Amino acid sequence: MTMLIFSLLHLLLIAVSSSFLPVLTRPDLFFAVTVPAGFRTGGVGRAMVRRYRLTGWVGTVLVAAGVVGLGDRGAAFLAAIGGGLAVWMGAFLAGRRAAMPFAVAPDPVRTATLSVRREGVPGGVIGLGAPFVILAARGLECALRWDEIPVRFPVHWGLSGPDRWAERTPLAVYGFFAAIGLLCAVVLFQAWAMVHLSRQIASPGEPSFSERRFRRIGVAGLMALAWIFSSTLPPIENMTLVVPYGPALILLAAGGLTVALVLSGQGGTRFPEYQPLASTAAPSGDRTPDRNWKLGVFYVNREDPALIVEKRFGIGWTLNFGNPLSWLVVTAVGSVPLLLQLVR
Amino acid sequence: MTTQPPLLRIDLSSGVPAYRQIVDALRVHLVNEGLRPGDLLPPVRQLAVDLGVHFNTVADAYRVLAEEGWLDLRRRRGAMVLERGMPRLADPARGELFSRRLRELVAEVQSAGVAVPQIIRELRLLAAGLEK
Repeated sequence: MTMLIFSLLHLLLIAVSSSFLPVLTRPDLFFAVTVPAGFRTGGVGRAMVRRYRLTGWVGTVLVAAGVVGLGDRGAAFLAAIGGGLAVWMGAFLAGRRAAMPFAVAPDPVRTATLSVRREGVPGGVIGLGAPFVILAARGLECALRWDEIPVRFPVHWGLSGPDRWAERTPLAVYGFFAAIGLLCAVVLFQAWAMVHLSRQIASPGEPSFSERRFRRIGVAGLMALAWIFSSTLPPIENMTLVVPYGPALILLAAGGLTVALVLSGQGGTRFPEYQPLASTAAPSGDRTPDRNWKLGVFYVNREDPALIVEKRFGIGWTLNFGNPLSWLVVTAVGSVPLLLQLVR
Repeated sequence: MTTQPPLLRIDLSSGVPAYRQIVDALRVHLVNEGLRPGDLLPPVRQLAVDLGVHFNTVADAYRVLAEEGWLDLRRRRGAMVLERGMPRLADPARGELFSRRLRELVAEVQSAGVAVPQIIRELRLLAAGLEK
């Protein structure tokens, strides 16, 4: 596959997934704005989605023309990704501006159950600690069988297999393990925070079941990713503790998680047990104020103790950037590629 | 059949501070035995996240109820409901304060548009509950 086709395929993926984003959110959230129940499926709401899609697809065609003009080289890929994201972000912001006049105040009443929540991460401490035990065991195996490690081993995979290699030095081998360990720590911390530092949005009782199921899928998916990271990367030849096909497994897990979340609907709103609000009821949204969503994408609220909140545009969760802990997570995520750069 | 745990509701648009609303709502459950001795309340972190209020707001509310003798705040176990006998009214001024607050509350809801028959009905329900 050439770089040009690869770039165009990525552009197409961005366009197709972005087309559906406005209808994946909770029913009373529309372009990251709290709206009355049923607004999204009404005439005005549907017209806004059509306009958003038209803007996005016209922009995508223009970006595709530019990418073809760049030809079969690396810049085409960057143009496809950057251009595609910019076009759809622009369409989203235009949609958000159009939706704002229809915004309504969310229900100010908050309800909580007066009992200790029994939810936890799957496997508890073992589930959280296992990836680090696996990494430590693999590190020990590398130390014991140092001479069997290839002089050069892959640390990055591209279109046609490994495209970056590291020399067999203690810094390269254990630096890579440290980077993967940090990545696992970030992913597992987010899984833990989704259970303990994210809000139960639906009122307690029946409506909250679908939300809990949705969260369990997200948490289990993140934990599966951490387990795969720790047991597959880097695939150093001859090491018995390595599970083969690491990159393929990671793509499969990440793709599977995304599909599962999309099918569930944001907050589990596509599950059969989900109970939509009556059209006369005040919308509850996601129990976050509209004004704290910067550009409709970044949630910044210092007064909200939740670290993880549901995304308002897209599927899944995002950080509350008003919480200092979120910057620790961002720094840790940013440190992973930096650490990998050291591994050469 | 499992009994559902009691719920706590607060109104963030109300002029009453959130911690006061939490104290008042919890006290109703404690007096009505919706929460019984030995029950564990959610940890401060969980309740604050669910209600969307600061940790200190919930911690202050728990502390007020602990000072009233309703809760035992243990470092690791969270807040546990205590066995608490109703104190005898020692201060007659307390009784007068209650009468005044009740009259003020009735006036407040009446001025907010709640119909008099509804107020009477609620007071009767309350009185019937107290007599049980």
